[in-house]
Amino acid sequence: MTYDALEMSYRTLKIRKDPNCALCGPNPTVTELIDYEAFCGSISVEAADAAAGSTITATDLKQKLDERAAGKRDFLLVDVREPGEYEIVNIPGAILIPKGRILDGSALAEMPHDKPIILHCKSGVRSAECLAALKGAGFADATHVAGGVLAWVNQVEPEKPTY
Amino acid sequence: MSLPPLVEPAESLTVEEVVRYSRHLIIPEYGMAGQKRLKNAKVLCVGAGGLGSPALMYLAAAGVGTLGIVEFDTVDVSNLQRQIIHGQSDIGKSKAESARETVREINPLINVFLHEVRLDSSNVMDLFSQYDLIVDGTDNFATRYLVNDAAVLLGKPYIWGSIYRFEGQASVFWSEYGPCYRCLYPEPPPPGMVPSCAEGGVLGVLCASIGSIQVNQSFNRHW
Repeated sequence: MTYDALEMSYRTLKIRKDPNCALCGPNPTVTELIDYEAFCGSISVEAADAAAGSTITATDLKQKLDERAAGKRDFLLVDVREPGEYEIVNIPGAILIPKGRILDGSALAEMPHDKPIILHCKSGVRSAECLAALKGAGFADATHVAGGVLAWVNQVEPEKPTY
Repeated sequence: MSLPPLVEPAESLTVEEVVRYSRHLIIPEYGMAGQKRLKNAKVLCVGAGGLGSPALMYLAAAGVGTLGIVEFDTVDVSNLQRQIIHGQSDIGKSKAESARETVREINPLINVFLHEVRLDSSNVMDLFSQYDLIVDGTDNFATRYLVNDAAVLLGKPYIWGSIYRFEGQASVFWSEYGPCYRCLYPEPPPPGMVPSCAEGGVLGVLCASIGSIQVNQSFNRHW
């Protein structure tokens, strides 16, 4: 049964047994419990690879932002969350480019090749995915912030709200 | 499709129970027989969060004799928008403990067992084998497939529910009589494709819609 709370509509769907089901079909390939974390993956292999060695902390970011403000460093800080999330809480100096526009390539033209790019999201998962996409598109000098804006609030601006 | 009853009826109801459950007892389709089966039933709820909150509260109020709660998390203020089994004074407390207190306040006549562990391959079979029916209120795909696989391997029925923003889905899965979760969703979505409630958000009252459908399904189909 499915329910849509916007349309206020319920639908009852008939689901049949899949004769090729790996678990409950006549020829199962899954006959005991498996490694579910590996099966579902919390973060893709590409994202994990991209993040390895290209991850900074929220306090690193604070230092870099201070240096940028003092004219000693230049980089682009990109918040890859959705506009509503940006409205709830954001890191001063970040520009908003939602993940979807990075993954579909439409935002790549707005990305600089002549200065480093730092990405962040809410907790560090989406920014790692975007990091993989950027590196794949040839942006070598890109990093992301571990723990995202939650880590920022926790370590740098504790007076701001989390969500 | 009609499914066989899961449990035998209890011998009898006490005077206190008859009074408490009278609005159920006078429904002809429900009657004493249905209530006695509920009394003997052991239901395990995986998670005391968005779906687990209403599910546990209605299961308890209805007089399910034994309720198990699997939950390892603690109550956070951001849970309270939808996880109505917990309240302001529970913030920081174990969700399992907080859920038990609410359930006891609703109905002191039932047994409640807490399993304050993260459900995984090492404990799921032992846990599920102690119960007649599982209510799945998990919030991630790894645990959802774990619940499904353990239920199929043990031949146990379970009621799956899932929510996201304004949409919800629920179904009975009992592989002896019909499909399992893998028949519907053979493969998990790629990592990062489907946001969690924390990432994507969820309408609070949707939890009640889907959680109560899960309870309804557990009553209709099995007792």
